[in-house]
Amino acid sequence: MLVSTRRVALAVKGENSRMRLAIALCAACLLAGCGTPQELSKQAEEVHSVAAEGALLAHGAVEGDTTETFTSEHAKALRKLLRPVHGAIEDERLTEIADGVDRTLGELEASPGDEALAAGAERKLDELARSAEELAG
Amino acid sequence: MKAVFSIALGILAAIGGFVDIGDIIFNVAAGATFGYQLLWAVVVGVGGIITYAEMCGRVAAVSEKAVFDAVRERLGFSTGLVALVAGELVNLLTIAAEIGGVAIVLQLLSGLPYRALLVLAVVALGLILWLMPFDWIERVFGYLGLALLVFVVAAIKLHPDWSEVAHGFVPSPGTGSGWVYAYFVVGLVGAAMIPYEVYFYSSGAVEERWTPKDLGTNRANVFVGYSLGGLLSFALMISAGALLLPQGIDAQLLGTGALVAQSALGQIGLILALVGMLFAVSGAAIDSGFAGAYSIAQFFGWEWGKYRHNAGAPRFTFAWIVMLLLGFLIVVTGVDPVLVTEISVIFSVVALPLTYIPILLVANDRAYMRSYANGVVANIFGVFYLVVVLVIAVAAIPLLLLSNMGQG
Amino acid sequence: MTDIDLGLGVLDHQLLDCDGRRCGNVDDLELEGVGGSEPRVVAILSGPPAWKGRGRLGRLASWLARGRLVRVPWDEVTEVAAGVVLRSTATELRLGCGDDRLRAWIEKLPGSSR
Repeated sequence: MLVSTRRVALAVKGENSRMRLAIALCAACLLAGCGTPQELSKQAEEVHSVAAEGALLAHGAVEGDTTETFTSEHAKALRKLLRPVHGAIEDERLTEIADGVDRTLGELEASPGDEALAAGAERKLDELARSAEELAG
Repeated sequence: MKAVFSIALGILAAIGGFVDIGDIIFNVAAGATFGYQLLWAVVVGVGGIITYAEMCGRVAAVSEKAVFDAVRERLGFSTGLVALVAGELVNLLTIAAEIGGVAIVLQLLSGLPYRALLVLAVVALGLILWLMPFDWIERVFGYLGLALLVFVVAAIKLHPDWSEVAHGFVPSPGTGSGWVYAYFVVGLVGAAMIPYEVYFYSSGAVEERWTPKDLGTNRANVFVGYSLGGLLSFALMISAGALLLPQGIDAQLLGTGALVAQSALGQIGLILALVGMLFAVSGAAIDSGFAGAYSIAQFFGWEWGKYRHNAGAPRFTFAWIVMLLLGFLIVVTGVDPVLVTEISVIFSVVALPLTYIPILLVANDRAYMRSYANGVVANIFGVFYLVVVLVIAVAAIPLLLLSNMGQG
Repeated sequence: MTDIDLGLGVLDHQLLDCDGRRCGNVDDLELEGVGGSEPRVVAILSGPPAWKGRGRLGRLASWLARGRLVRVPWDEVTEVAAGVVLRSTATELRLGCGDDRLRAWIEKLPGSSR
């Protein structure tokens, strides 16, 4: 037996189909990898960001006021973050900078307790960050 | 005295339990991108959760109904089912994000492999939920989450320009990309008003058999607890704004937040930040797992509640186990938990009206609420936030796309 | 309050047995005399088959879910408060069977009484 329920008319009910469409669009876009920037200035900004964060990380290692595990793991995470951008770079200068960032972070990841190495890494990453910033304009 | 003490403990648990991975990610990223300019958005979000949760707590205390009891009664079976399915899908993403977040923090602490830590996380969470009593769970995770107060100290130590900070509490069109700014507004409000919190809060109120006598506790928990919880969000944003923005550092990693605490306060800052994140995010995984089970059990009329013990509410117990497992399966694919977090927050925003509207209606219904129905003040805020919730629900996905997920 | 007002006021509400155990929802109502002068509620229907009368999604959900239809005569209802309170136990009324079946499994695990 059909008993009509107390129904409240809601504009929201129309959102169901809109939501489904939006979800489909979003999924398609995400699958297409719309996250990785393609223009030089955006890519340079990302490289700069990773380099600057790496320098900050290295600074903590120099002072010895952090844990080796964190230094190593976070360096690893930064390298992983850089990878998609690194792969998409076409500009030679930026590629060189990104290579340098990846290499230096790799050294930090491998020897997080070495304070001298960390000092060198911090200097290098600061330099690379500045170079990337110039390219970002 | 004992009552005051008990209320204070509840508030402490609420503060520590307020922050989840969505709040951490969005607040730190907002600070790194816009400095202090989005502090007002956090205020809007905290106001929203206070309004929403106060109504839910009052509805639970007076009518003995939790959120999805009210949703089904008010919207009927079909529309209520849409609200349930949308809520559960979003909740599942939240659970996945929280479990992934736990594994990341454990990795930063231990150096062990990520996938192994995912397994450890879900097994540990499952065992805790299976074996430990409800209030023990809430207290322990809430209190240990208070370690995040280290960010308040860090924010002060980093010497932000306090007049600029003060300006951040006033809404202004930010500098930089408008789409990204708007995306962050939606994300910050959404992260603060994340639905599992109210499902959990209202079900907890029914579990604890609240009556109208507990309305004072309801207000205290909600007003004081969530406001102070908002303080943690401010601290995350301010410290990120003070340290990361000037150096041009984006915050795309969970560890970046911990790095901020380390830079400001050294090793002790780092450890407290990581421990605080661990317990805040684990607590959120637990709460969202339960919230998923509460919702489905309430909608279909099953017995529910941790107070019934595992065998006393079999389908409810089975439901939270399944939700944890499904969340685990989502993240074990290797998908980035930070990405899952952003998606879960944005989609939560889209689904938010579906549960907010029935609660607002029930809170005003004198047949349910007798003399405790919404007064003028509650309705002013209730309707204001209805508008907010509807606007951000419509804007959320377009902004996600237009702002390239906050990357610009 | 006429019977049918009461009927509308109980649809989608929680069912509680005499011990306070939650044992399902009022999924639909069986009416008598609809179209006549005095329609009244004769029974409560609970279970997935009862969702068929609750819209398109109800029919879909009814098709997807398993479970028996339980018919609870209206005179079992003692009180309509936060939930619809029934005179007998859930077991006597054959409600909450899903929980009973699953409980048999869960009880086998250690810590099931926690």
